[in-house]
Amino acid sequence: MHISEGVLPAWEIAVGWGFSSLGLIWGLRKLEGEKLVLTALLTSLFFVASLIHVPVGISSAHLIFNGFLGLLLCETVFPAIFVGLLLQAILFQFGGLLVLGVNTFNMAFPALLSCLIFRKWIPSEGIKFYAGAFLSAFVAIFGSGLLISLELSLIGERFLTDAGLILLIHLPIATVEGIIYIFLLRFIKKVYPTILEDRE
Amino acid sequence: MKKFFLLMAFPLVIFAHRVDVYAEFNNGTLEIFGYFPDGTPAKGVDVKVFTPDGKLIYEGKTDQEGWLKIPLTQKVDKVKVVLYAGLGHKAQTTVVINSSPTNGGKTENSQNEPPKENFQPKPSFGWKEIFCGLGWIFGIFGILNFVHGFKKRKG
Repeated sequence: MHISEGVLPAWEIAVGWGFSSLGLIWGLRKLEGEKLVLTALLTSLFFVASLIHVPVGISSAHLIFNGFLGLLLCETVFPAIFVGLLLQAILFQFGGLLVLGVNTFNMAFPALLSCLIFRKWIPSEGIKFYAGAFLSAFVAIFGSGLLISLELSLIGERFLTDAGLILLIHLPIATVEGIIYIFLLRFIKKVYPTILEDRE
Repeated sequence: MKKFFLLMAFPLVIFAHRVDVYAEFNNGTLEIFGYFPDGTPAKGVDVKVFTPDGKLIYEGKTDQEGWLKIPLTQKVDKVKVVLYAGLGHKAQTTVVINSSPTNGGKTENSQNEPPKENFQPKPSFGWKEIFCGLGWIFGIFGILNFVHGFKKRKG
């Protein structure tokens, strides 16, 4: 979920850019060799995934994949999400350039948390793998929702209802994406297991 | 929980990334149209109209077709129309009020096109933009790779 331009006060935008800049500097320092290629590929996945809307009953939804990027990229998730959101803002006017810092932090920070908590669970077998794959999506997406809700509720009473609804909306998306991660990670473990083991 | 199910019935409000507003002044009436990038009308969303000095002069909601028509009684040169589509989505435009009833007023925001008759939803993105974006991604990371390789050779 992107926050639109003109909604947040200047101080929140500044704080968002501050935190995102720290993440970007850290991520860019780690961006080298094979990690750089993987980051580019997963940035493409992130850029395209959120454009494809899937009809769900009378509603429609799209994948976010920030947790998946977090699991595979860890510290370079900030540059990946920043580039994806930048291009979405320029080409499709999703979000905006001023709020890019806030939107990057909202999606990348929970994804980084997912990596730090669940990355070690993925090479395991059985319940630990399933829990790790599912919860990494849940923490990344629900965490994003939580940050957006917090930012909107800090603006004033007008956005309090919106803040609550955003949290609720992220629940089904997190659940569906958690199930997709299980299948995706099982496939990756079969065809390219080193991608999950090299940072053990 | 009731609110959640209500929201699921209005998916475009939930999942749209952007909302747009078009407004014009015609024969003493300020006509406002809210819509999403795919052309779907923004139904039942809040609209506020302000004078240039920030005074709220009208507040209302769009109808089921995304329109809100306000008979403008105040004498103002221009008005700012702000549309709140919920969940942090907001759009605004400024309308110059022309005193001549036949000419009407024009929106100052050149990005907003007046909705055509038989307004049909269109895709919110095209393949051209997607491939353009993918090209940029590989270009950006290609440059980063080049810079990294250059530093490595030097160091």
